[in-house]
Amino acid sequence: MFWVYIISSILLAGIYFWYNKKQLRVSLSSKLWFHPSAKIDYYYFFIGYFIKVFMLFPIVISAKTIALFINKQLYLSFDYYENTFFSYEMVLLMYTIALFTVSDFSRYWLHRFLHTIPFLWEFHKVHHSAKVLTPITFYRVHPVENLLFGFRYSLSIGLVTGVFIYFFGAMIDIYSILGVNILVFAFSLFGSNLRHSHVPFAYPKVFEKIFISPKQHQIHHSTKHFDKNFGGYLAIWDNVFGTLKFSNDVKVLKFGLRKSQMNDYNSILALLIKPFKNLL
Amino acid sequence: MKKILFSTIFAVSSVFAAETSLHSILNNVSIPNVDKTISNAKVLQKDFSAKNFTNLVKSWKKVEALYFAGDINEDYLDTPRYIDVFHNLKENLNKQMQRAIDSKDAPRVVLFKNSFRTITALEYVLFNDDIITPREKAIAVEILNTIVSNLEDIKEVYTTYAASKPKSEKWENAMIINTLIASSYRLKEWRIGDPSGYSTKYKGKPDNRRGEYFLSKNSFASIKAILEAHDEVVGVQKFYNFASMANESGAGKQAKEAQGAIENTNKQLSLLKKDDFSKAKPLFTSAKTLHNAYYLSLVEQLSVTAKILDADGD
Repeated sequence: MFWVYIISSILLAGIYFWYNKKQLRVSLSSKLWFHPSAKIDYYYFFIGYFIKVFMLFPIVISAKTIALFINKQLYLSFDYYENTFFSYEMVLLMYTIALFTVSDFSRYWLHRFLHTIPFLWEFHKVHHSAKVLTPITFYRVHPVENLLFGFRYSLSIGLVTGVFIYFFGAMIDIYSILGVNILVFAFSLFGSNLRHSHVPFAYPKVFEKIFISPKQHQIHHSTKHFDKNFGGYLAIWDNVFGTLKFSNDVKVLKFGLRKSQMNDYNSILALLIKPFKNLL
Repeated sequence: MKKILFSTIFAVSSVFAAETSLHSILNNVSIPNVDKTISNAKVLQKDFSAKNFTNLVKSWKKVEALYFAGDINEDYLDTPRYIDVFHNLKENLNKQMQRAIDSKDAPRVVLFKNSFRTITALEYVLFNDDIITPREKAIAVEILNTIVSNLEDIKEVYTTYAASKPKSEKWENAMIINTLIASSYRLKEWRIGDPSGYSTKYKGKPDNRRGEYFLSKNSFASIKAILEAHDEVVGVQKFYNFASMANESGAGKQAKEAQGAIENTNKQLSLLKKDDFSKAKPLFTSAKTLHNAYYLSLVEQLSVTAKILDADGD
């Protein structure tokens, strides 16, 4: 799936550069792709993968465990419920939307907490320490943050699934493409990999109230707007909770942390150790 | 020569192609059960004996307990309610059926509601008193015509699906477990809990008249038939069934738990005086164990939702 999204992002970037030829030079520049910050991202991508597979996955409680626990608790508290109202197709549609929406909502809040709770910010700083953005920057995340997102995933998906199993039985499914929730697929296809890039692809303002555009996420990465655009796929949460910033409102983007802090995150080891050192 | 070779390979591979549990259940349980019910309905049309009615009840309950046609084809979601309205009707059907019997209009005319053409209505027509009048017989024939027609619809859905490629094994297994869960709940709550006074609705207020077939004294026969149907799907059988699938999926222990609960419920039923729910607490408890075995143990072990959870992506 990763490559499908990358190809779609390249296509979107191609369309964007067709109309904005001046921007092309920056995005193709070797200074960008071989910037020390980008190089750290590439190495960290491999190391982070092994940390996730061998150290984090075994710790994170599975969404299935949560789902079955929720279902059991609902059953023991309210007895059996039999759905006779909604058709199978209707349940499929509701479950697909509920999974996507609840998951995105929880993603917004966890992301916001990572910025607003000082203890968590120390770990999230690792992600924001990227001076240049490439699609691989997406993986520049401290293992503690990975762990939190793992729990968030299990809790949100497990909660929705548990409730749906209780109300609609074991016969729930989602509309999917290549095994991925159709909504996640659609949004990922429409430029999610451009979020971490220097392609300032923006949507019309009316759409940016509902969906987070790549440029809006880049705004979030710019030093003056860390407190804006926490949303993953949907901008609705930013809009409702007062953290939305439109692409048109920001002209200059400067990524990374403060100059004095940047030197603290210039190696793989520093990315992994620095948050703990700062907290001690 | 090549044609013969390919045809042989195709034929052999078709024979050995793994049959899903639903396909096997449809071929070995559901379709034979519908056939038997149609046959019993036709026998009853010719001879309105109590024994023939009991046979119809027993075969119909097996069809109803394992009703998959509504999930296979949503057009047939309500068909069981066109055959049987137990627990699905707020009006007093007995009063309405008495009016239909007393009326001088033709049976086709007086049976203007779907509920008047059900086995529930038929029971009243045949067992409201000791005598079955010619008028009641004429109405019963008309009701049975409708029941047979609906059963033929169900058979058509099953035979069509059995002859087709399975939709998805995961979907089929989820449908089977959902059907077992719903059926075991109705067994526990409606058919045992309501007359015995152990259901949520009638807690502490037992009344044998709430039995499913109080008039014809077939309430226990109905419970026994439902348990037989569950055993055909979850019990150890010669054909591939849900228990076989559960065993292969590492849920053998959970399937055994359900088998034990079916056996015990049958045993508890045999210890009671026919259609008397006054001492039915062990029966209710055992039926509850069966429902829990499906709802809590089997669903958990078979993890029918595991793939869905993986599919969201993060």
